[in-house]
Amino acid sequence: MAVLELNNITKTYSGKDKPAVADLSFTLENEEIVTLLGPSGCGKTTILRMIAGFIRPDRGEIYISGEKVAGRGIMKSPEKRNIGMMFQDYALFPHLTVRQNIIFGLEKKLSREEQQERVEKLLKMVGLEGYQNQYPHQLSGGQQQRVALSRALSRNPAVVLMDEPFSSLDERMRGVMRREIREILQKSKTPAIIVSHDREDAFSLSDRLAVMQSGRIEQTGTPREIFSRPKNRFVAEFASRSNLVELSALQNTDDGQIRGHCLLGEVCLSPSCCGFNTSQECRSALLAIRPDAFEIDPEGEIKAEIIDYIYYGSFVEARLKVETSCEDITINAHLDRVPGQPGERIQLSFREESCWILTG
Amino acid sequence: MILEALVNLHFKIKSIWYGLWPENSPSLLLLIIAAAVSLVTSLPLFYSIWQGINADFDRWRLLWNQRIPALLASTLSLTVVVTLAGIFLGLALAWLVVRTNLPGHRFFSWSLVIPLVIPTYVGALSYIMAFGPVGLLQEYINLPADIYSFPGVALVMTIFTYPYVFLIASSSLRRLNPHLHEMSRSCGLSSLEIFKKVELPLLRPALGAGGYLIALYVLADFGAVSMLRYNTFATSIYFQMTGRFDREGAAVLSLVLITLTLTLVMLEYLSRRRGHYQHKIESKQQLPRLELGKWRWPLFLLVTIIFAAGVILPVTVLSRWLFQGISRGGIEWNILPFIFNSILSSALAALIAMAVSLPLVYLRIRYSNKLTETLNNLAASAYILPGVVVALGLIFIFNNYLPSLYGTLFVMLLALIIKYLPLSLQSSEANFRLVADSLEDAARNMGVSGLKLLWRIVLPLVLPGVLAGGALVFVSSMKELTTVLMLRPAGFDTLSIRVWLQASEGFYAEAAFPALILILVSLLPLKLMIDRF
Repeated sequence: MAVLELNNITKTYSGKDKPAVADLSFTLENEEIVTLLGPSGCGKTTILRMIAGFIRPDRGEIYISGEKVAGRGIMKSPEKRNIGMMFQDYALFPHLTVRQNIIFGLEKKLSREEQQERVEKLLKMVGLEGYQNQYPHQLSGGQQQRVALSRALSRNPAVVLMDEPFSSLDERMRGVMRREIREILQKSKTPAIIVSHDREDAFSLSDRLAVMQSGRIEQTGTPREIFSRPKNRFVAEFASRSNLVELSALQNTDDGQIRGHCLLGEVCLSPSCCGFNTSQECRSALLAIRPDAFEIDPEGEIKAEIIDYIYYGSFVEARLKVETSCEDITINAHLDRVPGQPGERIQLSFREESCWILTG
Repeated sequence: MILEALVNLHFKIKSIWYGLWPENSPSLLLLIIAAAVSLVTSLPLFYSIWQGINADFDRWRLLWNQRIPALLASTLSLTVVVTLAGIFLGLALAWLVVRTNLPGHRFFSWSLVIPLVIPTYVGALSYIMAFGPVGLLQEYINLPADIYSFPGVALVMTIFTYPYVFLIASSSLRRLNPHLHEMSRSCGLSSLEIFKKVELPLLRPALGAGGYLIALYVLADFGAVSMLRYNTFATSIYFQMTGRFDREGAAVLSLVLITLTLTLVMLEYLSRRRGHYQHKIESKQQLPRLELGKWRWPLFLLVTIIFAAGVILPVTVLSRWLFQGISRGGIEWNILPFIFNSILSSALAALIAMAVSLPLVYLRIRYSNKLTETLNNLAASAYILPGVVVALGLIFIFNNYLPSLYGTLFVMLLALIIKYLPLSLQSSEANFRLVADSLEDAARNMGVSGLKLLWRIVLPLVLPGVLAGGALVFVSSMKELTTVLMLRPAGFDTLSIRVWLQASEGFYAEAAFPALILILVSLLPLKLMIDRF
């Protein structure tokens, strides 16, 4: 049984014409970590707040552990849904200690011993033993986040929701916390929904991704699927920053390959690189080539001129002008193999297995 | 049939309710409390307007022919002169203190605010004690000018109200973006030109806001103006009511005063909407202070004189009279009952104001919509109203409908709360805004909601602001003269009443003691006053 089920959820904020979330359906399986990935304003936080019960959906139903919590006249209030939430700003109560924060709302439900036991267990899990009596302001950002996480887990929730969990951490802490949070969630066997606009967060943390745009889910799948087999232009550009070129004169060859023509030349790809059935009538499509698919190759058929570089530490992103095309492409190259100075002409090829054909 | 109508009504109410709060709705109990509070606090205003409108037409004509033109002239001339003088003085002082190397600018930056917290009637009293017919100075010199005159009133009122402009203007000056200065310098402007072309235009909203507060104050003031035997609407309403027992006449005059006040509010609102400069401060660097050169010490002397006029003179004169009284003997020393009465009524007013401000502010911040906004504005409406109008409205209401309560402490407390609830609202609101929405969401997410949530999360976090608001209400109530004078139970004399009664009998030595105590009490929330701007 799905832990969480959203059926045809629609929500339009008052005074807006376009819905923030439009007819969206989605399920979360047990022990699964799913990230809602999308640019800001795509409705992902609205979904989270509807699941938590802070916002009432206009239409559609929400089920938590099989029980209907929203829809058709039912609106269970947030305090009665068994959901753990980690807020973007952590929302730790500044006037309560770490311990009081964690057992907040459980004081009457658990005996003293049980409370103590739970606090210790949770703090041990997040590696903050001995911090029970500190106040939030005495902790670092990463520590505050761990407290927020253990507080979200303190009531053994059916689901944990995290709103942009890493937005207030610096780059180094992000890497550490991504790994830690994944481990903690797996250890506690709690399914989670994470909302993020950051691709790296999404890819490194989740079992499954749902890429969103304008209140709709464009594609769901494992990080690998999203990365290498985008369903449409938006997912290809947003999730893997692929170069998209138009592919025409598509046809199946006799040896089972798919042949087509694009601005980078003739391409011949295996059917496993195609997101749809080419035997159907389909003359034009898009070819998505990830930046890491290109190789500098003196024999390569693609001739291009280097426009400029952006340095990202260990790799370099180069913008190239292809001779046969009026559009630029971006490629990734290793720092030690920077192909040349801006203005130089180079030749390159791309690995066909890193490409993906999608409908235009 | 009836059942169907009821069901229909139920759905209609429900749809209105969800229309007001599409996302989540507040607790009905809080809403009812807030509505009741704002209704009660705005009732005197509406009732006295109603009474004024319903007054006899002949009475209107009579007053309009005999009294109103003269009163309009005296009230408006005083208001205009004091406001302009206050703006000039406040701006000049603010600029000297913030932007120049005036000696002692750090000290002046807070001490020039003190006159604002001294009750104006105490200030006026001290000027009468110094410059009046039996004043201290008469022993030494023959004063050419009469303190009981237009210039005298205008001077006293200016000295005790200019800090409104000083406070707002200096905080604006401090917040001016230093880059604007550096930019203007590099464009070749001199200091004077920068002041005229850059600083002054940017300060205009601050000067407007400060001038507006001064004008409101002068329109409303009763104690100082009547001690100096000047006639404005506020004093005339009081004497119409207590001297001539002419309630209808008082209602007419009060309607005119309300109209004047509301006109001022409208003007301020319009000017604020029109010219609104926004400048963000990004840089933390400090502007170098302007060198005054040879003007440094003369200007220091001038500022010191102004400081002395508003702070040293009142304290010295009052102490002189007190010691004279002591040395001559025969002073009524036992003022403990009055202190007790003052503290009792002010503490009760402060406690109730704190308590009732909570639901109003909470609804406004957390469930902001037209309804909660209106409730808050209604509850705060009394802040602009002169005390005489509030008192008059309450007298009408209680005389007509609840005569058994008239003349009890209850009515007096009600007046204090109505008048000073806005202070408490404002102070609490600032703190409520600091409590992130996500904290409340987190609490609800963890199974705690409703009153429990308020008690455990919201209240502890907003308490400092609420208490600060309570302190302001307490001190303001200690100083309050007008409404207490008109509404107190017989024999219930407070310190402010004591000052007033003794002064009007000419027992200056006796008035000096409670007046000094009031000054001391007033100084307590000075820091709160400064921080508000």
